Amino acid sequence: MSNMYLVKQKTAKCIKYIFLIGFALTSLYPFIWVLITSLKDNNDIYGNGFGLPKVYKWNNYIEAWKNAQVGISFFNSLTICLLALAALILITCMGSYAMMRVRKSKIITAYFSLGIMIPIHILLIPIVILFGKLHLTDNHLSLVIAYIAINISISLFILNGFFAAIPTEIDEAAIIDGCGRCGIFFKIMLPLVKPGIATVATLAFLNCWNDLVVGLVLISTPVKRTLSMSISVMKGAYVTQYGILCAGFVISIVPVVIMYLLFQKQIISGMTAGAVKG
Amino acid sequence: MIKQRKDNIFAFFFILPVFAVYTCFLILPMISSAFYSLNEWNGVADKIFIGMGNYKTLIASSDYWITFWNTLKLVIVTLAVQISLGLLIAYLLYNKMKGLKIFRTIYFLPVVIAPVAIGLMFSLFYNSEIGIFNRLLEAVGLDSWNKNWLSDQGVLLGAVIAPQAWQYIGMYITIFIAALQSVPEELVESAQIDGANNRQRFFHIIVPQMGYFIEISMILCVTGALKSFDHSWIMTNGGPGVRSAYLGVYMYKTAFVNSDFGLGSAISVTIVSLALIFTLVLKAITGRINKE
Repeated sequence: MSNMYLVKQKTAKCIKYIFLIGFALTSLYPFIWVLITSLKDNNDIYGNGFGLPKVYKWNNYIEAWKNAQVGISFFNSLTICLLALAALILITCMGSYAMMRVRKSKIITAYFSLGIMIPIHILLIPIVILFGKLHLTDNHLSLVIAYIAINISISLFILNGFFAAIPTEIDEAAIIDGCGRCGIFFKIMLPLVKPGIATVATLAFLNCWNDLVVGLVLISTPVKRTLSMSISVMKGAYVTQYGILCAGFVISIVPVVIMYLLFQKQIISGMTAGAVKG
Repeated sequence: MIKQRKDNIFAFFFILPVFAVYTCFLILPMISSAFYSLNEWNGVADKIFIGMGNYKTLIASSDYWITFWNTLKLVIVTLAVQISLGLLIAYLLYNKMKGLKIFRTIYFLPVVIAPVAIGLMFSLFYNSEIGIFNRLLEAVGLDSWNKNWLSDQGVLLGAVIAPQAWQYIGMYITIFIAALQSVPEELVESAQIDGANNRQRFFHIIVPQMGYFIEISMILCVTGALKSFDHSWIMTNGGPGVRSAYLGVYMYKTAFVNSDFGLGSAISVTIVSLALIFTLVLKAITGRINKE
């Protein structure tokens, strides 16, 4: 009888693994297919859909990078994201430190949490009008500011937890030692909340890098497009040049995949902190 | 005393930048959107106040209701697929910790990729000539099921919903793994000693303990669906007409393709209201379940 039980358990385990591996394949294989297809020419894609490329067509990447303007928009996106990120981290850390450790206020904290659940669509029309008035239409600066604003709530939510967790004795000791508030912030607090900053940075970077619709409404000149915008334009312009489309796809996801592999812990905790934000 | 005042001044200047950006570029725009929705306005000419006129237009508009039902179908599909598969896979992984990290890394990968890239990828998969869906059907001898997924009216909406449902399963797996790890082990063990089998333990011991996480996940699913735009926009531009558009896509088309800012604002106000209503209803339901 115990033998039967063991066999049953083993089969159950086997089925479980088959299921888990099968699901892993559906998560991974699509990307592998695109990666392989990005190195094929159209004949190869039509005739040999699932195999490895017969001839490796690296030219697809050059074509996508230069002619489809993926290269220019790659650097546009990179600049915009990094600028937004630097400013976002500085102002949210300052705000969070003041809110959590210098002058605690429930009202202010609640006010900043309003933005967490708001669907972004309600912002689109007003920010187009607003940036029009500020003469920032079709200007990267408008995107930088919009990305900062959109990410403030969630960044503060994450950082507040980190700032609140630092023992108060540290401030007191520093003040007795004659350290000013600014000194405490830059020399003591920022190094202590580094893990929080890393979480916020990776999460906000993904949010900015992956955005499409804010770019669509704020930017119109082709050379100023973000990467997501270029990818969506490319789909129309290179309808049947599948290899080039796939190359554009691969270029657009490489930074994100690298970041994911390097900062997986921060990314997952950031995205699920966003999930468990109530 | 002096120290307190100094602290107040310091706090004021440290909060000011983030407060100013947040207020000017997020909160005030949101409020002005509600105001725009009461006007007839193309964004350039003068606004004409028409009260609830835009909302009346929406209620009478068939396009609005098509996109409304499309969005609702998206909500239902993503809830069903993501929550159930998320729970199931998280439970399987949690039971057998070996390899958990590798599996989680793979499952979470699609979540971090730009939705616009996922949309592009799936429009290649749906392609009638090179797409893998038709090829797979051919391979198993079901050629007759082959179709042009993104133009066949019968499957169009399903084809646009599928990538989005697929992309974020990993998010819920991860949330539910964290949730499962928060269930006290003694509880599960004592149920095991009492003779509860696997399925009983799952539905009667573990799931009730995870109520809060399931609630949050459902809210996330719903608000995610309500703001979805990219997948539909890149695969079909929401078309033909608005057949495969969600409310977010319809709002974008109304405001930025047809230059009707008043009506567009009204749609965005309904999106936010729906998000709030869904959240409150879900909280009320789960609150009642928790009481019982």
